[in-house]
Amino acid sequence: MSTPTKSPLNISNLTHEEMSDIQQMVEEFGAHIDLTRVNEAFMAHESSLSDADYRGLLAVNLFYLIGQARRAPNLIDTRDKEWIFQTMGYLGMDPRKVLRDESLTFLSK
Amino acid sequence: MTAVTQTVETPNQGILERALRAFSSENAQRAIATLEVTLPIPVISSVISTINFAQHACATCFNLVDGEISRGVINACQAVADVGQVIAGFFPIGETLVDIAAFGLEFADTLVTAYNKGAQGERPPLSPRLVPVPVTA
Repeated sequence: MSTPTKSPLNISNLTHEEMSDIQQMVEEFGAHIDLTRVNEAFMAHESSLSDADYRGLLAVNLFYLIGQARRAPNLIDTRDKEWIFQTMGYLGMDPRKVLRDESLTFLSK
Repeated sequence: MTAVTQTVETPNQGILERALRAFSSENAQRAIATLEVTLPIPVISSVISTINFAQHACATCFNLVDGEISRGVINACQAVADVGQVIAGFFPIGETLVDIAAFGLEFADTLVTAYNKGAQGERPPLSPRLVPVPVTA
């Protein structure tokens, strides 16, 4: 089993466009998360988060990981792909749209 | 006198070309190139049958992404891989089939299963790739 390289969720690494995309995604799931305080939400106990906020955090996770993978596709292994697909299923995203996104072809390799 | 060339498309060639359009153009070109040599009809038929089978299996699997994946589809991928392996020594399309089946096996057996778990309400953990950064004042 490969040892994952831990990547701190440092939102200062994100571009303004990525931040906007994530914020929009989070709001689409009805979550109330201020991205500038996202690390506090991460550190909160899971049981203290509403389901909507947990979904929002998952969306942040998902798009952050995808953003990282776009820059370095080799970072993504099969376990990450499993997590990505399970998260997409949980969030009700249509994987067919994702698989047709040319910027996400690393998911099908 | 102007020479007139006429291209006669055999039924088999038409079927194969249509089937191959579903695959990447590079692989399609390689495979279509094999038609430029004379092949025994039974061999062509066998290859076409395999491609049609692969297409059917892939389309079925793709349509099942948001539903339950069946073991039958996974078995189909395995069969395509096996046949592709056998003909790979003779035709480039064999390698293509093996590649497609490999992706299909991973996709169907791992990724679609993972997607279905989430779709059925099994909540994923936060990504193991990410760790919280302590907030500094």
